[in-house]
Amino acid sequence: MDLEKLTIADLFSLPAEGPAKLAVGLNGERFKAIQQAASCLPSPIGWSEVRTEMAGRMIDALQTTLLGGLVSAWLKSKAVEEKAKKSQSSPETPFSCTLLEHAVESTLHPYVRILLDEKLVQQVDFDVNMTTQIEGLILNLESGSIVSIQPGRCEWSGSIGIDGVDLIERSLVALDLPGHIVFRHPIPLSTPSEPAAKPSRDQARVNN
Amino acid sequence: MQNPSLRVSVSFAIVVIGTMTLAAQKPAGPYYWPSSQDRPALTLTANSANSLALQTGQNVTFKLAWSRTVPAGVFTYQFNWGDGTWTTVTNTVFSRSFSVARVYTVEVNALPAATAKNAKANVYASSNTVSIVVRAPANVELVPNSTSAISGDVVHFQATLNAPTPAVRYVFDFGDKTPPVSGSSQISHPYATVGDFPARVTVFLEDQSSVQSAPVTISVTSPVASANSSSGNNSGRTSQQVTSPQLSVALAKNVQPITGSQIGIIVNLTPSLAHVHYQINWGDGPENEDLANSQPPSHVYSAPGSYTIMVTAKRNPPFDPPLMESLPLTIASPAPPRSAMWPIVAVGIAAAAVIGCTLWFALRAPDTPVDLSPLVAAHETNSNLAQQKFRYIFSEGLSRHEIKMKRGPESFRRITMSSGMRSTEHTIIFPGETTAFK
Repeated sequence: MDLEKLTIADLFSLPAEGPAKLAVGLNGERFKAIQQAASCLPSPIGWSEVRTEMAGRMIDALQTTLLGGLVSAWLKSKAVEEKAKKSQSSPETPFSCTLLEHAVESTLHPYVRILLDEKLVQQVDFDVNMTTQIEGLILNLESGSIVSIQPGRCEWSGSIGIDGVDLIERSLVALDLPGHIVFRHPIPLSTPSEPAAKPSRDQARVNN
Repeated sequence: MQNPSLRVSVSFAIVVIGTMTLAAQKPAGPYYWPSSQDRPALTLTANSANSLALQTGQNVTFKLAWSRTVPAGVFTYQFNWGDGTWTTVTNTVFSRSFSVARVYTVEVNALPAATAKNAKANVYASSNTVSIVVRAPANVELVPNSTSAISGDVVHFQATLNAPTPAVRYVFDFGDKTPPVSGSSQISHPYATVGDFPARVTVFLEDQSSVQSAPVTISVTSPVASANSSSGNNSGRTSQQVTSPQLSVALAKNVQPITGSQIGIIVNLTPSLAHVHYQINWGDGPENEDLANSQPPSHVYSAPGSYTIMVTAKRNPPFDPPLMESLPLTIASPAPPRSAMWPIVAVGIAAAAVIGCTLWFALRAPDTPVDLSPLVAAHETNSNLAQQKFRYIFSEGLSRHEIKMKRGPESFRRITMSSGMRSTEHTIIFPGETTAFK
């Protein structure tokens, strides 16, 4: 498993060619405007085809890497933030930062816009919730970038829904990651744009 | 006049207060227990680091250090290994190895030694936490298809790597003084000279470490000696049989390399020999399939990906080194069924004007350029077609495109879809914490 290339769409195992399970969950009642637009075409289009295409476009929006989200979360740890600053100020010195058992909870809100002759018919907002459980992790930093990680056991679960209704759900599965992942492209660590979360008791212990 | 008993009491009080003052000024000693605010801090390191990655069986030394001098013998140290096990020691240095691969979160509690007095708490101080990532050691095994060969024979090797880190490259040393060869996990090598040759493989891993296999000895004999030996055993082998037959594997005609489709292969042995036993591994499972009675062989792959079909031919009798041949194969997902397609792209009125009918596309990829000229030409040369509905299907690679046509000077409307991301939020949560999504 190539963590650098692993996308959220991969995690849900929904190939763009046929996200059938997701499409099945899309109820036409919620999308009357789209149905009407599709049916008024010279060659009317069935709802099943519309929803399949909508699901496919939504999966396109999820072609974002899991690693990007994880790094964004790790940066909210005070321990990582401090090590990142040290690494940036001492580019010649390698640093390592240990994160104890933790979870990364991610919410993504992809949307699909349906247009009829360039006019917006409806925007459909999806909710993607994911949790990545990581038993332990060592981040190896150089010049303010993550050059490699040594993850412990990782497990992942997630769901895709609309208006609180789950369309697809993936229960806890183990991510088969190698013990030491050296990144082909080091990931620069920049200070998060929002204030870092208050460090927890466990984080404080990590910072010792 | 003072009361003598009062004087004695005052003197006693002075002595007691004086003793208490002296006790408070006493430097840290074996029984000195500072208040919680003034306690020295306990720092734990493993091989001088606060995190470590090592292999099972590899020794690691833990060191404890107090921020101030603490006399020896005052504390016992309880190592919590993070896997539910504990070890209690009296020294501040402790070495051990780990036999199970996992992440260990090690923390040490300093407890008053049994002889210590005034101990008021069970745990006097806790150290920082040290993470130890323990991995199973990498190993690689080199397996030839035969350990005996006749000079000129090709020996096929398979290297099987068991490592937590992916391989970058395999370097094979065949032991016959030919230069090492870099390649993938499978390789073939012709042995030209006679002798016993220790072959081994070195695998370079992504973490810049390497692992080497144990040597496997390939015994190569001359064709004459082999033939003499065979005739001496009354096996009836002649010098003609010494010539190595060639095994070839190819995809059968009209095979569609997609999931769910029958993938047929053609196995050919030149020259043709009797009593040949074929086995095949389709590369998507560990099992070898016996093909003695199932020619022509075929297989259905359930998942897209890159596979290597490995065919083994064994001649029996006499039992000669088996011949192996591989065929790399890429299996793709089939084009989506018609029901999964949706006409994203409708053709403009200009196209309709050319061919005089309503036209719409069912394209898998909206951006795929479509050459309409054959279709238009067909319409122009056959007026009957313009009056009827018909379907035009063509393929580009594995993509299947379909164009439906029907009569009617209708204008065209177009539905398009676009997608994007409104917002994302990633939150790190440590055990015991709760958070709410924004």
